[in-house]
Amino acid sequence: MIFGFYLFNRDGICLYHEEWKRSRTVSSREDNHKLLFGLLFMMKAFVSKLSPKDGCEFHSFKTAAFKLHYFDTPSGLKFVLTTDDKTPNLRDCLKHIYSSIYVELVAKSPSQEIGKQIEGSHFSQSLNKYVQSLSYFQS
Amino acid sequence: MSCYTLFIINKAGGLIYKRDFSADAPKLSVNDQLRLVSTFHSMHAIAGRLSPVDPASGIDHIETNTFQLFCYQSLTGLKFLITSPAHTSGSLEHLLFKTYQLYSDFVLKNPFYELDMPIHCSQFDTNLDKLILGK
Repeated sequence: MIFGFYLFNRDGICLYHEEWKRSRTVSSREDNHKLLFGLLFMMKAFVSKLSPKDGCEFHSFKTAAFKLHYFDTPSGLKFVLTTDDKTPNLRDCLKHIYSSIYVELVAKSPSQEIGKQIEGSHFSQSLNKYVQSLSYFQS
Repeated sequence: MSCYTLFIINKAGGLIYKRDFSADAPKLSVNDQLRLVSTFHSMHAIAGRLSPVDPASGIDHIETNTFQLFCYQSLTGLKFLITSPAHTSGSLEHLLFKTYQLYSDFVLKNPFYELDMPIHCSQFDTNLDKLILGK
C-alpha cells in the first residue's frame, strides 16, 4: 500500500506532495515538510559517516508502521515514497518517476520556474497514473 | 552471521556500549561515535512523529548500498543497533533480542553496574563474542 509521495529540491523546498492514505493527523503541512527534509538530510550524513566503504547512498528506512523509499539526484532533487512496511524496495519506481515523469514534464517545461512548487496538472496526472498502476498500490 | 558493529544507546540518547566485530567496520573517533549515536536517537524519534499511520514507532531498519542497520528498542527505552554488510539476508532483529537478554543477565544483574552508565562487564563481552562470532 502506497501512502504518499514527496519531492524536495536541494534547498529544502517541497516542490510536490501527494497523499493517498494518511490516518494520523499532523500539525501542519509545512512543519511536516521541514521535519521530513531535516530527517533526510540527517540520514544522509549519518549513513555516509557509518559506512565501511566510500560512496554510500541511503536507499530506505523502515519503522513498524511505514517504510520510506528514497532516491536523490546529483542536482539535489530528493524523491520520497512512503509505503507500508511490507513493500519491497521501490527505488526503481522512484528512478522511473524521475527519468520519465519529472524530466519530461517538469525539467523540460518552459513555464515551470526552478525552485518553485510544481504547477499545472500534467505532472500530477502522470504521477497518479503511474503510482496507481503499481501492484503495490491498493487504495 | 557477519556484523560490523554493535551499539547500545541509553534512554537519553547517550552511547553506553560499542563493539566492533569485523576488521571492515569503519574506524570512528570517540567523539564521532557519540555524535552519530545521538543523531540516530533523534532520527528514531522524528521518524515516529512523521508516521502517516498509527501506531507510530521509531526506525528499526536502514538500508543503503554498502551496509544495513537494524535497531531494537526495549520497553525501557534502551536501543540496540547493529550494522551488517549490504546483502545480509533476513533480519538481525533476533540477534538484537538475544543481545538484550545477555544485557539483562550480565549487565543489569551486576551489582556494581549503574543504570545508564557505560558498560564495562567482562562476562557480557565474552557472552556477546560467543553469540555473534561463535555463530
